[in-house]
Amino acid sequence: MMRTKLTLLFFISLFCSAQILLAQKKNETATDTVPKIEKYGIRVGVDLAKPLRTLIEDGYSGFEIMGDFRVTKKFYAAVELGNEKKDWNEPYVSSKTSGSYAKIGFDYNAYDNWLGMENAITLGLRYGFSTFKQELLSYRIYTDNPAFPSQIITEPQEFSGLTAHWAEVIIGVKTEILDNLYLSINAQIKRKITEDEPENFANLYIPGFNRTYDYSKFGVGYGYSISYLIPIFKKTEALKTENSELTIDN
Amino acid sequence: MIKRIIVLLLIIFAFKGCTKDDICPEGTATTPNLIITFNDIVNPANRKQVVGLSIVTNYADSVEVLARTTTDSIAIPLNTNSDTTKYKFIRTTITTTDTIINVDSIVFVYQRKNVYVTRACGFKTEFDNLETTLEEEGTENWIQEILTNRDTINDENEAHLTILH
Repeated sequence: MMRTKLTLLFFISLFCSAQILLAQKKNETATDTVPKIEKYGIRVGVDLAKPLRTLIEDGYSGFEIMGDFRVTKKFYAAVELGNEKKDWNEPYVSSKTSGSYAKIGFDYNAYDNWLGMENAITLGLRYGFSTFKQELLSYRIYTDNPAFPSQIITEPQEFSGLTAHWAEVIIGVKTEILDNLYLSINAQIKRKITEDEPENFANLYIPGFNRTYDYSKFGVGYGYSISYLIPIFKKTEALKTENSELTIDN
Repeated sequence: MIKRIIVLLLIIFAFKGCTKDDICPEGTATTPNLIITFNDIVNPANRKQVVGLSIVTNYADSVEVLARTTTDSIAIPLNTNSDTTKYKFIRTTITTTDTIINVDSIVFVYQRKNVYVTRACGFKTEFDNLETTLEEEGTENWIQEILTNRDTINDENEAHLTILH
Protein backbone atom coordinates (compact mmCIF):
# COMPACT_ATOMS: atom_id res chain seq x y z
CA MET A 1 0.00 0.00 0.00
CA MET A 2 2.82 2.30 1.02
CA ARG A 3 4.73 1.35 -2.11
CA THR A 4 1.90 2.14 -4.50
CA LYS A 5 1.49 5.48 -2.81
CA LEU A 6 5.18 6.25 -3.28
CA THR A 7 5.14 5.08 -6.89
CA LEU A 8 2.19 7.24 -7.63
CA LEU A 9 3.84 10.18 -5.94
CA PHE A 10 6.96 9.61 -7.99
CA PHE A 11 5.07 9.63 -11.29
CA ILE A 12 3.09 12.64 -10.33
CA SER A 13 6.19 14.60 -9.46
CA LEU A 14 7.88 13.41 -12.66
CA PHE A 15 4.92 14.59 -14.67
CA CYS A 16 4.94 17.95 -12.95
CA SER A 17 8.63 18.52 -13.41
CA ALA A 18 8.34 17.51 -17.05
CA GLN A 19 5.68 20.12 -17.44
CA ILE A 20 7.95 22.74 -15.91
CA LEU A 21 10.85 21.69 -18.14
CA LEU A 22 8.69 21.83 -21.22
CA ALA A 23 7.62 25.27 -20.23
CA GLN A 24 11.27 26.21 -19.75
CA LYS A 25 12.16 24.90 -23.18
CA LYS A 26 9.67 27.18 -24.78
CA ASN A 27 11.08 30.11 -22.89
CA GLU A 28 14.71 29.32 -23.62
CA THR A 29 14.31 28.77 -27.34
CA ALA A 30 12.37 31.94 -27.48
CA THR A 31 14.69 34.20 -25.53
CA ASP A 32 18.35 33.15 -25.40
CA THR A 33 20.08 30.25 -27.16
CA VAL A 34 23.60 29.59 -25.89
CA PRO A 35 25.59 27.96 -28.66
CA LYS A 36 27.63 24.93 -27.58
CA ILE A 37 31.01 24.93 -29.24
CA GLU A 38 32.49 21.55 -30.00
CA LYS A 39 36.17 21.45 -30.88
CA TYR A 40 37.32 19.12 -33.61
CA GLY A 41 40.93 18.34 -34.28
CA ILE A 42 43.85 16.04 -33.84
CA ARG A 43 44.92 15.16 -30.33
CA VAL A 44 48.49 13.94 -29.91
CA GLY A 45 50.05 12.65 -26.75
CA VAL A 46 52.60 10.54 -24.96
CA ASP A 47 52.23 7.89 -22.33
CA LEU A 48 53.75 8.99 -19.01
CA ALA A 49 53.73 5.62 -17.28
CA LYS A 50 56.14 3.94 -19.67
CA PRO A 51 59.02 6.46 -19.40
CA LEU A 52 58.52 6.47 -15.63
CA ARG A 53 58.78 2.69 -15.54
CA THR A 54 61.87 2.95 -17.75
CA LEU A 55 63.49 5.06 -15.05
CA ILE A 56 62.48 3.10 -11.97
CA GLU A 57 62.00 -0.48 -13.13
CA ASP A 58 64.96 -2.74 -13.82
CA GLY A 59 64.76 -4.62 -17.07
CA TYR A 60 62.12 -2.43 -18.66
CA SER A 61 62.21 0.34 -21.19
CA GLY A 62 59.41 1.63 -23.33
CA PHE A 63 57.51 4.56 -24.74
CA GLU A 64 54.19 5.13 -26.45
CA ILE A 65 52.78 7.95 -28.52
CA MET A 66 49.14 8.29 -29.36
CA GLY A 67 46.79 10.30 -31.45
CA ASP A 68 43.11 10.60 -31.99
CA PHE A 69 40.91 12.42 -34.41
CA ARG A 70 37.32 13.39 -33.71
CA VAL A 71 35.16 12.00 -36.44
CA THR A 72 31.69 12.69 -35.08
CA LYS A 73 30.36 14.23 -31.89
CA LYS A 74 30.85 10.99 -29.96
CA PHE A 75 33.39 8.99 -31.98
CA TYR A 76 37.14 9.40 -32.23
CA ALA A 77 39.49 7.46 -34.49
CA ALA A 78 42.42 6.48 -32.32
CA VAL A 79 45.91 5.10 -32.76
CA GLU A 80 48.77 4.21 -30.42
CA LEU A 81 52.33 3.44 -31.45
CA GLY A 82 54.96 2.16 -29.09
CA ASN A 83 58.14 0.28 -28.42
CA GLU A 84 58.97 -1.88 -25.44
CA LYS A 85 61.85 -3.91 -24.13
CA LYS A 86 61.27 -6.19 -21.19
CA ASP A 87 63.24 -8.81 -19.27
CA TRP A 88 61.04 -11.57 -18.00
CA ASN A 89 62.43 -13.76 -15.23
CA GLU A 90 60.64 -16.76 -13.85
CA PRO A 91 62.17 -19.25 -11.41
CA TYR A 92 62.77 -21.64 -14.28
CA VAL A 93 63.01 -19.37 -17.33
CA SER A 94 64.68 -16.06 -18.12
CA SER A 95 63.90 -14.22 -21.32
CA LYS A 96 64.14 -10.83 -22.94
CA THR A 97 61.59 -9.41 -25.38
CA SER A 98 61.87 -6.29 -27.52
CA GLY A 99 59.77 -4.89 -30.31
CA SER A 100 57.27 -2.36 -31.57
CA TYR A 101 53.53 -2.27 -31.74
CA ALA A 102 50.61 -0.38 -33.20
CA LYS A 103 47.02 -0.22 -32.02
CA ILE A 104 44.30 1.15 -34.26
CA GLY A 105 40.66 1.63 -33.44
CA PHE A 106 38.11 4.07 -32.10
CA ASP A 107 36.91 5.63 -28.87
CA TYR A 108 33.33 6.37 -27.98
CA ASN A 109 32.76 9.20 -25.54
CA ALA A 110 30.05 8.19 -23.13
CA TYR A 111 30.24 11.40 -21.10
CA ASP A 112 27.90 14.34 -21.59
CA ASN A 113 29.85 17.48 -20.91
CA TRP A 114 28.66 20.61 -19.25
CA LEU A 115 28.75 23.65 -21.36
CA GLY A 116 32.28 24.50 -22.45
CA MET A 117 33.87 21.42 -20.95
CA GLU A 118 35.76 18.86 -22.96
CA ASN A 119 36.12 15.89 -20.66
CA ALA A 120 35.57 12.33 -21.73
CA ILE A 121 34.85 8.87 -20.41
CA THR A 122 35.71 6.71 -23.32
CA LEU A 123 35.03 3.15 -24.27
CA GLY A 124 37.18 2.03 -27.13
CA LEU A 125 38.07 -0.90 -29.31
CA ARG A 126 41.49 -1.54 -30.78
CA TYR A 127 43.17 -3.94 -33.09
CA GLY A 128 46.70 -4.49 -31.86
CA PHE A 129 49.68 -5.70 -33.81
CA SER A 130 53.25 -6.27 -32.67
CA THR A 131 56.50 -7.33 -34.29
CA PHE A 132 59.17 -8.38 -31.87
CA LYS A 133 62.03 -10.67 -31.07
CA GLN A 134 62.46 -12.83 -28.07
CA GLU A 135 65.60 -14.20 -26.49
CA LEU A 136 65.66 -17.21 -24.22
CA LEU A 137 68.55 -16.35 -21.95
CA SER A 138 68.64 -19.30 -19.59
CA TYR A 139 66.42 -22.03 -18.21
CA ARG A 140 66.24 -24.89 -15.77
CA ILE A 141 64.87 -28.38 -16.13
CA TYR A 142 61.92 -29.03 -13.86
CA THR A 143 62.35 -32.21 -11.82
CA ASP A 144 60.42 -33.14 -8.74
CA ASN A 145 63.13 -35.50 -7.54
CA PRO A 146 66.00 -34.14 -5.45
CA ALA A 147 68.41 -36.92 -6.49
CA PHE A 148 69.63 -34.93 -9.49
CA PRO A 149 69.13 -31.22 -8.87
CA SER A 150 68.71 -29.37 -12.14
CA GLN A 151 71.29 -26.86 -13.19
CA ILE A 152 70.73 -23.54 -14.93
CA ILE A 153 71.36 -24.01 -18.62
CA THR A 154 72.66 -20.85 -20.24
CA GLU A 155 72.40 -21.39 -23.97
CA PRO A 156 70.93 -18.14 -25.32
CA GLN A 157 68.62 -18.57 -28.26
CA GLU A 158 67.13 -15.74 -30.26
CA PHE A 159 63.76 -15.88 -31.97
CA SER A 160 63.30 -12.89 -34.25
CA GLY A 161 60.61 -11.81 -36.68
CA LEU A 162 57.79 -12.84 -34.38
CA THR A 163 54.35 -11.23 -34.70
CA ALA A 164 51.23 -11.16 -32.59
CA HIS A 165 47.72 -9.83 -33.17
CA TRP A 166 45.12 -9.04 -30.55
CA ALA A 167 41.83 -7.27 -29.92
CA GLU A 168 41.54 -4.82 -27.08
CA VAL A 169 38.84 -3.07 -25.08
CA ILE A 170 40.09 0.19 -23.62
CA ILE A 171 38.27 2.20 -20.95
CA GLY A 172 39.58 5.64 -20.19
CA VAL A 173 38.93 8.97 -18.50
CA LYS A 174 40.19 12.18 -20.07
CA THR A 175 40.26 15.50 -18.26
CA GLU A 176 41.08 18.85 -19.79
CA ILE A 177 43.53 20.33 -17.28
CA LEU A 178 44.48 23.39 -19.30
CA ASP A 179 43.07 24.72 -22.51
CA ASN A 180 43.48 21.91 -25.07
CA LEU A 181 45.75 19.93 -22.72
CA TYR A 182 44.43 16.61 -21.48
CA LEU A 183 45.42 14.10 -18.84
CA SER A 184 44.04 10.64 -19.28
CA ILE A 185 44.13 7.31 -17.56
CA ASN A 186 42.99 4.06 -19.09
CA ALA A 187 42.73 0.35 -18.52
CA GLN A 188 42.97 -2.23 -21.23
CA ILE A 189 41.73 -5.78 -21.56
CA LYS A 190 43.23 -7.68 -24.46
CA ARG A 191 42.62 -10.98 -26.13
CA LYS A 192 45.16 -12.65 -28.37
CA ILE A 193 43.99 -13.57 -31.83
CA THR A 194 47.14 -15.12 -33.27
CA GLU A 195 50.83 -15.17 -32.46
CA ASP A 196 54.01 -16.73 -33.80
CA GLU A 197 55.16 -19.20 -31.20
CA PRO A 198 58.92 -19.60 -31.08
CA GLU A 199 59.99 -23.19 -31.57
CA ASN A 200 60.22 -25.05 -28.28
CA PHE A 201 59.47 -21.90 -26.32
CA ALA A 202 56.62 -19.40 -25.84
CA ASN A 203 56.09 -15.66 -25.91
CA LEU A 204 56.28 -14.70 -22.25
CA TYR A 205 55.87 -11.02 -23.09
CA ILE A 206 54.54 -9.27 -26.17
CA PRO A 207 55.22 -5.53 -26.66
CA GLY A 208 51.92 -3.68 -26.40
CA PHE A 209 50.12 -6.74 -25.11
CA ASN A 210 52.15 -7.16 -21.90
CA ARG A 211 52.75 -10.46 -20.22
CA THR A 212 50.97 -13.51 -21.50
CA TYR A 213 49.42 -16.31 -19.50
CA ASP A 214 49.89 -20.04 -19.99
CA TYR A 215 46.26 -20.92 -19.58
CA SER A 216 44.53 -17.88 -21.01
CA LYS A 217 44.53 -15.77 -24.15
CA PHE A 218 43.72 -12.64 -22.18
CA GLY A 219 46.02 -9.85 -21.10
CA VAL A 220 45.70 -6.55 -19.28
CA GLY A 221 47.35 -3.18 -19.43
CA TYR A 222 47.07 0.42 -18.37
CA GLY A 223 48.14 3.82 -19.54
CA TYR A 224 48.56 7.28 -18.08
CA SER A 225 49.07 9.92 -20.68
CA ILE A 226 49.18 13.60 -21.47
CA SER A 227 47.92 14.87 -24.81
CA TYR A 228 47.38 18.11 -26.64
CA LEU A 229 44.48 18.93 -28.92
CA ILE A 230 45.33 20.79 -32.09
CA PRO A 231 41.99 22.33 -32.96
CA ILE A 232 41.25 22.32 -36.66
CA PHE A 233 37.70 23.54 -36.74
CA LYS A 234 34.84 24.26 -34.38
CA LYS A 235 31.28 23.19 -34.71
CA THR A 236 28.59 25.22 -33.08
CA GLU A 237 25.39 23.58 -32.15
CA ALA A 238 22.32 25.04 -30.59
CA LEU A 239 21.98 24.05 -26.95
CA LYS A 240 19.12 21.66 -26.62
CA THR A 241 17.05 21.49 -23.50
CA GLU A 242 17.38 17.70 -23.39
CA ASN A 243 21.09 18.24 -22.85
CA SER A 244 20.68 20.70 -20.01
CA GLU A 245 18.13 18.39 -18.50
CA LEU A 246 20.69 15.57 -18.40
CA THR A 247 23.32 17.78 -16.81
CA ILE A 248 20.87 18.82 -14.17
CA ASP A 249 20.20 15.15 -13.39
CA ASN A 250 23.91 14.48 -13.06
CA MET B 1 30.40 6.71 -13.55
CA ILE B 2 33.99 7.59 -12.56
CA LYS B 3 33.63 5.59 -9.34
CA ARG B 4 32.51 2.57 -11.33
CA ILE B 5 35.52 2.84 -13.59
CA ILE B 6 37.87 3.05 -10.63
CA VAL B 7 36.28 -0.07 -9.15
CA LEU B 8 36.72 -1.85 -12.48
CA LEU B 9 40.39 -0.83 -12.59
CA LEU B 10 40.92 -2.16 -9.07
CA ILE B 11 39.32 -5.48 -10.00
CA ILE B 12 41.57 -5.82 -13.03
CA PHE B 13 44.72 -5.20 -11.02
CA ALA B 14 43.61 -7.55 -8.27
CA PHE B 15 43.33 -10.35 -10.83
CA LYS B 16 46.60 -9.37 -12.40
CA GLY B 17 48.35 -10.12 -9.11
CA CYS B 18 47.63 -13.80 -8.67
CA THR B 19 47.28 -16.42 -11.32
CA LYS B 20 48.07 -20.09 -11.46
CA ASP B 21 50.88 -19.22 -13.86
CA ASP B 22 53.08 -18.38 -10.94
CA ILE B 23 53.59 -21.91 -9.66
CA CYS B 24 54.08 -25.12 -11.60
CA PRO B 25 50.81 -27.02 -11.03
CA GLU B 26 51.03 -30.52 -9.67
CA GLY B 27 50.20 -33.11 -12.28
CA THR B 28 51.88 -31.20 -15.08
CA ALA B 29 53.87 -33.53 -17.32
CA THR B 30 57.40 -32.44 -16.49
CA THR B 31 60.58 -34.53 -16.74
CA PRO B 32 59.39 -38.16 -16.87
CA ASN B 33 60.76 -40.84 -14.58
CA LEU B 34 62.00 -44.19 -15.78
CA ILE B 35 59.31 -46.80 -15.10
CA ILE B 36 60.52 -50.32 -14.34
CA THR B 37 58.43 -53.39 -13.58
CA PHE B 38 59.75 -56.59 -12.05
CA ASN B 39 58.76 -59.94 -13.52
CA ASP B 40 59.46 -63.55 -12.73
CA ILE B 41 62.44 -65.12 -14.56
CA VAL B 42 60.68 -68.49 -14.49
CA ASN B 43 57.51 -67.08 -15.97
CA PRO B 44 58.42 -63.72 -17.64
CA ALA B 45 54.79 -62.75 -18.27
CA ASN B 46 54.06 -62.60 -14.53
CA ARG B 47 54.86 -59.77 -12.18
CA LYS B 48 57.04 -60.71 -9.25
CA GLN B 49 57.64 -58.53 -6.23
CA VAL B 50 61.14 -57.75 -5.04
CA VAL B 51 61.36 -58.17 -1.30
CA GLY B 52 63.54 -55.57 0.41
CA LEU B 53 64.40 -53.46 -2.62
CA SER B 54 66.20 -50.15 -2.22
CA ILE B 55 67.86 -48.00 -4.85
CA VAL B 56 70.70 -45.51 -4.49
CA THR B 57 72.65 -43.51 -7.05
CA ASN B 58 76.06 -45.01 -7.76
CA TYR B 59 78.30 -41.98 -7.28
CA ALA B 60 80.78 -40.79 -4.70
CA ASP B 61 78.00 -39.08 -2.76
CA SER B 62 75.17 -41.49 -3.30
CA VAL B 63 71.57 -40.46 -2.81
CA GLU B 64 68.78 -42.83 -1.94
CA VAL B 65 65.90 -42.61 -4.41
CA LEU B 66 63.94 -45.59 -3.08
CA ALA B 67 63.87 -46.54 0.59
CA ARG B 68 63.75 -50.25 1.30
CA THR B 69 60.37 -51.63 0.34
CA THR B 70 58.65 -54.57 -1.31
CA THR B 71 57.31 -53.73 -4.73
CA ASP B 72 56.91 -54.95 -8.30
CA SER B 73 57.22 -51.58 -10.05
CA ILE B 74 59.24 -48.42 -9.53
CA ALA B 75 59.71 -44.96 -11.01
CA ILE B 76 63.21 -43.50 -10.76
CA PRO B 77 64.65 -40.27 -12.16
CA LEU B 78 67.37 -40.05 -14.76
CA ASN B 79 70.06 -37.40 -14.50
CA THR B 80 69.06 -34.38 -16.59
CA ASN B 81 72.59 -32.94 -16.45
CA SER B 82 74.39 -35.92 -17.94
CA ASP B 83 73.96 -38.60 -20.63
CA THR B 84 74.51 -41.39 -18.13
CA THR B 85 72.90 -42.32 -14.84
CA LYS B 86 74.35 -44.97 -12.52
CA TYR B 87 72.28 -46.78 -9.94
CA LYS B 88 72.72 -49.51 -7.40
CA PHE B 89 69.73 -51.83 -7.09
CA ILE B 90 70.00 -53.35 -3.63
CA ARG B 91 68.04 -56.38 -2.49
CA THR B 92 68.12 -57.02 1.22
CA THR B 93 66.96 -60.43 2.32
CA ILE B 94 66.45 -60.83 6.03
CA THR B 95 66.23 -64.34 7.34
CA THR B 96 65.97 -65.44 10.95
CA THR B 97 69.70 -65.94 11.15
CA ASP B 98 71.19 -63.57 8.61
CA THR B 99 70.83 -60.40 6.54
CA ILE B 100 71.95 -60.86 2.92
CA ILE B 101 72.59 -57.71 0.92
CA ASN B 102 72.91 -58.18 -2.82
CA VAL B 103 73.95 -55.10 -4.81
CA ASP B 104 73.56 -54.98 -8.59
CA SER B 105 74.86 -52.01 -10.55
CA ILE B 106 73.08 -50.67 -13.59
CA VAL B 107 74.22 -47.94 -15.97
CA PHE B 108 71.73 -46.09 -18.15
CA VAL B 109 73.01 -44.28 -21.24
CA TYR B 110 70.74 -42.06 -23.33
CA GLN B 111 70.43 -38.85 -25.32
CA ARG B 112 68.68 -35.84 -23.85
CA LYS B 113 66.24 -33.41 -25.40
CA ASN B 114 64.97 -30.37 -23.48
CA VAL B 115 61.35 -29.48 -24.20
CA TYR B 116 59.53 -26.31 -23.11
CA VAL B 117 56.60 -26.94 -20.77
CA THR B 118 55.17 -23.67 -19.37
CA ARG B 119 56.51 -20.45 -17.94
CA ALA B 120 56.18 -21.69 -14.37
CA CYS B 121 57.50 -25.20 -14.99
CA GLY B 122 60.31 -24.21 -17.34
CA PHE B 123 61.62 -27.09 -19.41
CA LYS B 124 61.53 -30.86 -19.11
CA THR B 125 63.99 -33.42 -20.40
CA GLU B 126 63.02 -36.31 -22.62
CA PHE B 127 65.40 -39.23 -23.00
CA ASP B 128 66.00 -41.06 -26.28
CA ASN B 129 67.82 -44.29 -27.24
CA LEU B 130 68.01 -45.62 -23.73
CA GLU B 131 70.64 -48.33 -23.29
CA THR B 132 70.77 -50.33 -20.09
CA THR B 133 73.85 -52.19 -18.94
CA LEU B 134 73.91 -54.50 -15.96
CA GLU B 135 77.30 -55.03 -14.41
CA GLU B 136 77.88 -58.77 -14.74
CA GLU B 137 78.79 -60.57 -11.53
CA GLY B 138 78.11 -64.11 -12.76
CA THR B 139 75.96 -65.96 -10.26
CA GLU B 140 76.12 -63.07 -7.82
CA ASN B 141 73.52 -61.00 -9.72
CA TRP B 142 70.00 -61.10 -8.35
CA ILE B 143 68.85 -59.43 -11.58
CA GLN B 144 68.78 -62.06 -14.32
CA GLU B 145 67.74 -60.09 -17.36
CA ILE B 146 66.64 -56.59 -18.38
CA LEU B 147 64.14 -56.18 -21.21
CA THR B 148 63.63 -52.83 -22.93
CA ASN B 149 59.99 -52.18 -23.80
CA ARG B 150 60.41 -48.56 -24.89
CA ASP B 151 63.72 -46.81 -25.37
CA THR B 152 62.18 -43.31 -25.49
CA ILE B 153 61.25 -41.88 -22.13
CA ASN B 154 58.78 -39.07 -22.80
CA ASP B 155 55.91 -40.12 -20.58
CA GLU B 156 55.15 -42.28 -17.56
CA ASN B 157 52.18 -44.14 -19.00
CA GLU B 158 53.81 -47.54 -19.46
CA ALA B 159 56.86 -49.37 -18.21
CA HIS B 160 60.02 -48.62 -20.13
CA LEU B 161 61.95 -51.60 -18.76
CA THR B 162 61.11 -55.01 -17.35
CA ILE B 163 63.59 -56.60 -14.97
CA LEU B 164 63.46 -60.39 -14.62
CA HIS B 165 64.60 -61.89 -11.34
